[in-house]
Amino acid sequence: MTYSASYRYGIGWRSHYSASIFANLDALDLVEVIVDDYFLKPKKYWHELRTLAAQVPVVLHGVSLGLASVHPVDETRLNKLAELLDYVRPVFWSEHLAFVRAGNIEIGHLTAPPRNAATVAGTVKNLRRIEQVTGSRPHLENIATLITPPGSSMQEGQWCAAILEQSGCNMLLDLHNLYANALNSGAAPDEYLCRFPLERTRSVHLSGGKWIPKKTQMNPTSDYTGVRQFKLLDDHLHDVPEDVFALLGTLVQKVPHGLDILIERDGKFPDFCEVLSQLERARGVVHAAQNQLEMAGSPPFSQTIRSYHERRSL
Amino acid sequence: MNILALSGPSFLLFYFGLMVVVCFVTQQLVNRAETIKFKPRTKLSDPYAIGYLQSGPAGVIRVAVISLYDRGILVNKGTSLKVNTSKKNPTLGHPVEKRLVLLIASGVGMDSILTDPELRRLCDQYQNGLARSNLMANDQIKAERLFYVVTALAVMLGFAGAKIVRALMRGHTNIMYLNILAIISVVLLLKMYNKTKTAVGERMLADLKSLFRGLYDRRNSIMPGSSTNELAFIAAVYGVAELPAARFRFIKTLFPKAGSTGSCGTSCGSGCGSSCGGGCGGCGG
Repeated sequence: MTYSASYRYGIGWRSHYSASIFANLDALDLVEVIVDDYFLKPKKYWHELRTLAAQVPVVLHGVSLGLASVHPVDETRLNKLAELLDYVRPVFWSEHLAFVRAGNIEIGHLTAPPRNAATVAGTVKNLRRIEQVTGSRPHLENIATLITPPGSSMQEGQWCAAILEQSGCNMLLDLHNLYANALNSGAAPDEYLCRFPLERTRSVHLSGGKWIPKKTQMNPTSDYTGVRQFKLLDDHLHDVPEDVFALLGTLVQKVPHGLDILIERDGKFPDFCEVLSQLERARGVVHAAQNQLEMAGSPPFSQTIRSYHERRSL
Repeated sequence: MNILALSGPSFLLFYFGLMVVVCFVTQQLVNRAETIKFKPRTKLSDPYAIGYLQSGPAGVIRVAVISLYDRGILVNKGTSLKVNTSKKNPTLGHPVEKRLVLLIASGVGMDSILTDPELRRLCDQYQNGLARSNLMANDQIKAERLFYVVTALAVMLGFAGAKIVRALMRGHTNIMYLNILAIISVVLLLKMYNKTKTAVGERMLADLKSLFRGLYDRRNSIMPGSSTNELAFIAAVYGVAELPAARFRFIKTLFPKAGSTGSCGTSCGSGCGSSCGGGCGGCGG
């Protein structure tokens, strides 16, 4: 009995790896490009994305819509995104469950909004507007946060599930973000994973981070203890840790369909062969998980990853 | 106004302007037709293929020299390259590399290497693949060009012919300059027809220059022997003249005609980074 769930493996496009990506096209099923880099460029500069897409299937990844907010997304940015999506025709596109601006202030990085009914409603409203303008729904990525956002009344998994359910979107599950959030909140990663709407997960990010020290605050009623705690920072500058690969194995055993698995690396770039070996590790984890399922006698399943245009009609 | 009735110098001026406009418009129409009707159909994962698209056989040979040099199979001796005899059983998977090493080991100079028939035949094998991929001219693309070029030729030769006949009928025989301009326009239009690279191929090269911009920017920090592929792509996309001069001193001597292809095409860009600080990592901190 063999499983035919279709998995695809790729990496984020970084210009540092441009030659290596081209030299190893056969080893890659997907390449993920940060779409915001092209917002300010005239349309004639977009053609390089088509050239890249002719070499390897491209997915587009947004970082600046800030859709997880009670404030509406910026219409100019949204229209530009729609144009780009129509021009490039990626396999799929994704954005973050984060806000990046409030009022006229640009925060400068992805920020976790309070997880409550108001932000669920605001996010869903934004996603409906996004679907209206672009004609498609993004995969939504969970982000890392060192603290539980103030004003939260829902757990992260519950909050994501509510948004996905009401918007009809699918999940891009960043396993290192999830891992970091679990550890930083004192939860077991495996258990934290199961709180997410795994059945709606269609794509996965794998990355690494580092532990950063955090001093405890002085307790005004007692002496300063100087006890240090540590938080896991998801900086995308490190290799994927084994615990995250383990989470991938757990995820594979819980979803009835294939996944698109992408490794992200934003700096401290190792040799490309090291990145490829991490991709191979991911393949190995997926196969091992599938074998375990097969041995446990689970029924066969198959899922072909549908193209961007088919997904538009979902 | 009867254009043909213009006096000699005035008509020459008109004809020169017509030549410029006709050639420009014809080139634009040919480019437009090629980019709309023909799409690239290949994976360009081989820097040698890109080198051929850029500069023909010479492009392939230059990329191969860089690759072999960085792998230590060739070494620089003064102003020439020699085979590194201390490197036992070097891996030479590519037939172009094998032929090149054989020629260099026999003491053949680079000028002769660049014109070696067997080496050129091995390099020209890329042409078929690139032509099938619409990056270089194939029969279909040439047929598409023919219509525009023939029309342009008809215009240029029509005007020239009519003026010559009129001049001769009036006893004027000073038609030499008009003949020269007519010949120039024929040569330009025929060059357009016979151009090996298509508009699709040129656009591909411009896009590659943009996509590889980050690699180009850090070319001076590539350690010897560590990233031969990267050097090969830089040589193929931007030209060997763009490689770090300190490490590749032999380039100017061995390849004096190898200029840079320009560090950037029409679509320069980083293709990386974001408004949220380097991709989407480093957040939550």
